[in-house]
Amino acid sequence: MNSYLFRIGSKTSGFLRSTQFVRSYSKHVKSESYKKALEDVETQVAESPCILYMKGIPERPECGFSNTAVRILQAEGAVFTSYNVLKNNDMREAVKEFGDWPTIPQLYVKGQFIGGADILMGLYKSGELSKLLNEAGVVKKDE
Amino acid sequence: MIRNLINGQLFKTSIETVKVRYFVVNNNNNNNNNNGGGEPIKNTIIEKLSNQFKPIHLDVVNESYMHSVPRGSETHFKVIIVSDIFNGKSVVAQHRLINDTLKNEMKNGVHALSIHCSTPDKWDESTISPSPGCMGGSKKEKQQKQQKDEK
Repeated sequence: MNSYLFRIGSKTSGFLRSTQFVRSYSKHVKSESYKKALEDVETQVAESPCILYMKGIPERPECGFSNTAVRILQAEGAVFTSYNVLKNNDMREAVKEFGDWPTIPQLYVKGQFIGGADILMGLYKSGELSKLLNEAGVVKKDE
Repeated sequence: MIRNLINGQLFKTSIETVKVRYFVVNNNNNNNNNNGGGEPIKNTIIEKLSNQFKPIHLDVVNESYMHSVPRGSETHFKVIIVSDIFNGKSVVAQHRLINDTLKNEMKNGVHALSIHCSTPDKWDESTISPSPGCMGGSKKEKQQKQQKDEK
């Protein structure tokens, strides 16, 4: 636990002075379940060819940005797994820390962080996303 | 700092105590912007981004009204920024620079930050897509209720 405390401290020492920061994050610093969540994210990202961390599920997104991300992936015909961060608050915070990215959704392809909703939209429009997904082999094959 | 406190107390009413305190905290590093305006966080964001990136174009839009938060909240923002500093950096790297600059705000109340950044030579305003609406919380329930009522 100490090592984790140190990590948070060294990374964001300036913010530790802010009581609001301490209040909102102390529960995660303390809890074993948060450390477990961080490990889970690491495993998921390493093992899933294409994983989207989002709010809600693809059939029923609970945030407009997550919805955008899902629709883009569906439009590309991507085969992806999704994780609903709303069902586990430790995971919700762990995902943000793992990717060093403050917002949800987040897309990982082959262990690489691709981006959030704005970046996906940009890549989709420029055609780079299609290329990226095809190269990674995570697109449904036409029958 | 002292002036901030005095101003804060002048604005202080019994109902708005919490709000005013927040306002005072936020203006500690933001003395130039002490206009007591309704959007202290937005002002901080503008100032931080201006200082850090010297943008040729900067637009910070408070889009909180589109989401399931109380009226007047400062939780959802869209940032449109064009700066030379982004030259030669990947989009992810550009976003990370902005996220880093606004880390404090993201930890303390700002919940969503939509970023559209560009370099001066690639800048084309027409490509900025509108932010999506809210799909969670009470707004969704309200919408569903409205649709039911209309039927």
